[in-house]
Amino acid sequence: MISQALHILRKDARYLRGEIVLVLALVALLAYTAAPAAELLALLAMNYLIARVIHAEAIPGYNQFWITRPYRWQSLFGSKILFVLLFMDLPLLAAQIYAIVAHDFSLSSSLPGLLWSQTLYITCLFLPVICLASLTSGLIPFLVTEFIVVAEIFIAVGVVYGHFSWAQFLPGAKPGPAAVDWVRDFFVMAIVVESAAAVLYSQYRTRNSAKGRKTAVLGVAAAAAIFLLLPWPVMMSVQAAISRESFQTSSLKVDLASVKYGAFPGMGPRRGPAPPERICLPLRLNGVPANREAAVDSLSVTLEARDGRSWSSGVTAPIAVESGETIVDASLPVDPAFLMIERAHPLTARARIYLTLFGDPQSATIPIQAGPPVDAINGLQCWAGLLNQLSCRSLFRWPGKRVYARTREGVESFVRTFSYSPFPATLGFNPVETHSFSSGLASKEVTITTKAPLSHFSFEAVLDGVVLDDYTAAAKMRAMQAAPPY
Amino acid sequence: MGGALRALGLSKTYGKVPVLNSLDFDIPAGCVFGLIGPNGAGKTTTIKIMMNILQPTSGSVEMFGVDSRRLGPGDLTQIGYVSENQEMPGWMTVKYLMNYLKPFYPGWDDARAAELVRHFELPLDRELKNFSRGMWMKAALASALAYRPRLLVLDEPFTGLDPLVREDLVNSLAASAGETTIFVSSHDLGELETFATHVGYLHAGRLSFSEEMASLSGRFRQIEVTLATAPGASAEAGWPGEWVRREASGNVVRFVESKFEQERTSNEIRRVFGEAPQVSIQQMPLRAIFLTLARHSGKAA
Repeated sequence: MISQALHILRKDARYLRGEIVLVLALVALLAYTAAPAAELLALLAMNYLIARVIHAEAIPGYNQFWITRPYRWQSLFGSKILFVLLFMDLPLLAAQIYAIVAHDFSLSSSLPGLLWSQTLYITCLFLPVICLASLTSGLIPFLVTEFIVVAEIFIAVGVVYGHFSWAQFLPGAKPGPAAVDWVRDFFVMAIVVESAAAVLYSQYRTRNSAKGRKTAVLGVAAAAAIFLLLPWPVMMSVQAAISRESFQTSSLKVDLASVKYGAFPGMGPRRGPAPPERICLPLRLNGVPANREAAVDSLSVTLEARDGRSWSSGVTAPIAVESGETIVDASLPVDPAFLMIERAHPLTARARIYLTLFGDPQSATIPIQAGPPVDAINGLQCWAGLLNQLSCRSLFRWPGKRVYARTREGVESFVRTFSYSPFPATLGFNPVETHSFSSGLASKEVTITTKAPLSHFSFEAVLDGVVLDDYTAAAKMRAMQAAPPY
Repeated sequence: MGGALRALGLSKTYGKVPVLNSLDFDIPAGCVFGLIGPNGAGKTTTIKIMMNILQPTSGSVEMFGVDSRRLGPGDLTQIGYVSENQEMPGWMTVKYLMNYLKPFYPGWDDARAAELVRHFELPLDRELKNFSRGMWMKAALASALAYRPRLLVLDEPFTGLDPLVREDLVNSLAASAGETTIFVSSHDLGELETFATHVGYLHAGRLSFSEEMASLSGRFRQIEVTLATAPGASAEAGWPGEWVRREASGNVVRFVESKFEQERTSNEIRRVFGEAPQVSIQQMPLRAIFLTLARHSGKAA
């Protein structure tokens, strides 16, 4: 079986030697430049090469040369997988090792990221493309189908990130914390990979392309359903289930801070019709342990009137308030009809708060310069950027932690966007991820501190006697005139 | 000789359209079986089911006792398949094709492969995509005969070939007959007649007959009877059913006897036309038999 697989592999390598050289050249270019254009070109060339090698022994159809020859399906499939490993995965691995060495990262500590990124390439990138190629008989149907699939992915991503108002009713279209996106992506990719594996097994074992196509369509539909319909609370629950620490929520208390802390996003001067009036409830969190830092990932608020009427916000992204306390602003686009009737009456507000507690701090003070990056902690390398802003880079992904930078002058800033994902790498050809901090550097030394997310959980806070009129933009104006907030 | 190919109630429908309708045949090993029939009769579908390219709707076909649906790589090392529609890797040269295929077949015979290449005058270093249709078919046949298959399945192998190439192919097939059972579908009845030992006639998904070529040739005769006077319009009513393609022109009556036996046919002619008519009896080539059957089946339909 292996000798037959190698025999077919040698044939394919000879047949596609020109295309192989092209892919290798593009991967070398990618390793050398790390340019997004090289990444895109390498990706396109690999797609093309996969289609060509699979179509050399196309599965659908009745007239292919090989189907009446004594090919073992395991050998044929094995040869194609070997081809992808040899001429696509291995060059990418070499390019990543080159990037690690060129950026002075440690090779041994990069091993988990290296292995995981190779796993991601094979399962999440190459396997679906191999699957698609196995369902098509030629390059044109392959490209047309791939274009349709890619267009659907773009539309789905647009829906999830709120670019399409017509899809706002979908649970997945509700805004949630980007830090838990990985949960949704994990489920989606698990379905895609399982479907692709099932299709490939069926295609190579039985050549029943009608069944294979049905399986593929079902897989894509299931993945799309998860992507569009998986509600954020479920993703938060999954995140909570894999928390490093449990936390007793009974010690936490929530009350309403002054309306002065209301952020009122989008309320400045603007053209066009005025947006619906917003209510901002500044929620102050009390009872967070001293050695922990709380970050509200998302929340939902339900307003209940005495007569049983209610309005619910759904899951919404909170706005962190810089106040020295843990205050988040729940900015609520309350239904105008509900607001008009209930604005002056005391209501009950039920807030479901999704919270992450950070702790286990680690720090390193490093000299900072415009020259070569300096090793900090958790695999970070930092340097002063062109505008004297602090920039740091890490291999394969940004650490799944809050990363703070504090200068001697006390200026502190942190990188807001990161993922709680437990995996050591993301799906990308460029293994180096770089972020810049929001504040400029005032000194030649900086202390980099990381805090790990230890507990993820949600709890419900009940606030009685909330009068919406006290939390409008006009109320904030009145409060500001009476006394500044800070 | 044991059965090489056996079909039992083989049926195939595409959607609701029946293509094969309960086909039965039993083809002995070592014979050359020619499957003939008009376009759309189901010849290619039969062959694709035999080769496990298509699945039957019902029934089955066995190749050397193996159900076609269970044909595995081991079985395919003993089966050769050449079709007019078969794709070939055009980038390969003949030399590369032969070297590539060799490890797949334990019975690959280098000497025979070289002999076939020489016999067909195939240029070793030219890519298949640059071959003429005739050369392409020769290369396909050479690659199918080089491992001395027990069974060779050919789907319209002579279509579009010039007479010289046809003769080359026929000679090679005739030379392989005996050690190899050959199943060939073709419209080229002249070529088929020269080397087929058995023939089956497929019409509208049904096998009208399947028999030895000698038997088929023996039972079909073109008969011309010259009468003293023209037969009446109602005379045909009493003519035997085996007389097909009947036509009368003045006092001359022509028909094809489909179950010719010298004594029985002579008696029937006497019964129908009376004593001492002038009778001419001629053997028919396969092509004439095919045309007779095709037109008779068409009328019957």
